[in-house]
Amino acid sequence: MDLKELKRIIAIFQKAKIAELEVESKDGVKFRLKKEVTERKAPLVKEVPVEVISIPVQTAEQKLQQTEEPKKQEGMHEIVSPMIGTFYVAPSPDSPPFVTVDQEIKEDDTVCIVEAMKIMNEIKADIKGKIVKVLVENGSPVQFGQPLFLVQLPPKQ
Amino acid sequence: MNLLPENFEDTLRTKIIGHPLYVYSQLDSTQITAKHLAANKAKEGTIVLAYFQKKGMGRNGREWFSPKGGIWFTIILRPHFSSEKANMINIIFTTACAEVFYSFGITQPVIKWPNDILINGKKICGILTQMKSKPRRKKDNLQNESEIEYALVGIGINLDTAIEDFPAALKNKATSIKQEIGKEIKMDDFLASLLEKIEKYYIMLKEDKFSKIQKEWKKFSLPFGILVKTSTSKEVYEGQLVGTNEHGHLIIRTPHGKMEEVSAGEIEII
Repeated sequence: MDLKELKRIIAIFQKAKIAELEVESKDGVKFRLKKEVTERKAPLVKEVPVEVISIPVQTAEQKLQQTEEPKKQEGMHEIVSPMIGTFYVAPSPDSPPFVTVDQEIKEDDTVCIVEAMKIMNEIKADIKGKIVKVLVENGSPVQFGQPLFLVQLPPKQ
Repeated sequence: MNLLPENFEDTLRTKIIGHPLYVYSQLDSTQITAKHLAANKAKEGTIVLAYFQKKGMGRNGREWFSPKGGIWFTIILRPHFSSEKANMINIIFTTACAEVFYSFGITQPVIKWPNDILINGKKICGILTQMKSKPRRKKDNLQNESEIEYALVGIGINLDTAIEDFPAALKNKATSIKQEIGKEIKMDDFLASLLEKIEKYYIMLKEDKFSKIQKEWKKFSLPFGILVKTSTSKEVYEGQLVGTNEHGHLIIRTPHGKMEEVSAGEIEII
């Protein structure tokens, strides 16, 4: 074994994730290489790319508004948007709203319209209760899954 | 006046759309009647057609002028797919209408995203779709839920209307097939072709073949590159029309070069 071959073996050993290597050549040269290896467990799940979401800085006023909003808590339910679109409280600009705060609603009552691509989607309540807050302003864009109404559930019997 | 023959439904080559077909001499609105039927378990494909609507329904509570001589009908659908996918209904049905107009001799039907068809800048057809759906609860499986109770696709086509019969406000904004090709066409021939095309595209949408319909849509769309303005009550975008994405949302390139995706609102040529 010449020096060149020895260097090649050392280089391979350095890159490999092994702690110890024993080599014996045909011409009787025998040596052992050792190094410290940091143990790294294989991840249990495939790594997924992390989406970086920028969080807008809140003004003091916005923080105050949020603290005043009713919190979703025990006995409360959120009716969410089934799609991206524009939120409307009434069937037309001149019509009264489908529901107002403090109004009792039944399951399947229409509570609003979400429009996308000129499709007027009447959204039904998925629960019985009382409207506590309309969470979106009329005419505003809404996202899939965005809470639209906060509903107080009837007391459990 | 152009009427449908008594046995029209039996002659249809569709399997779903137009079965049953209810024909009325007049109604307040086919949308309202269809809504009652849908709430009473009318099956998918049911059509309500009226020769004359007293209060034809337009968007935002506006009235749709629907005199005798037009085709005014509503199709009841019960899509077993997401609202996001159902939102493509207007895109696929305007494409179906544009293709049938073309096959009946109208050389340049133009689709104005997402629900109108124009000839030389004048409206010849409009689609109004109303749906009723229940939101998904957050714990639900988002992939497999059927959430739409029904969709009512209202289609209005100016078939035989003479220009002088349009109200003053519409004279420069609307046209009819008769006006454009200079002759009457038979309502049953036209409607049969249209319903066949609509059924074909609806099945393709169910089978996730929206991109194939989109290729057809492009052939009839307002030309890409023209300047348009879109507006909802909160947002206004101006820029060049670039096309639509995989959801059928409009893409506009603003003067700053930014691509904006528009999913709601009006579009206007500027």
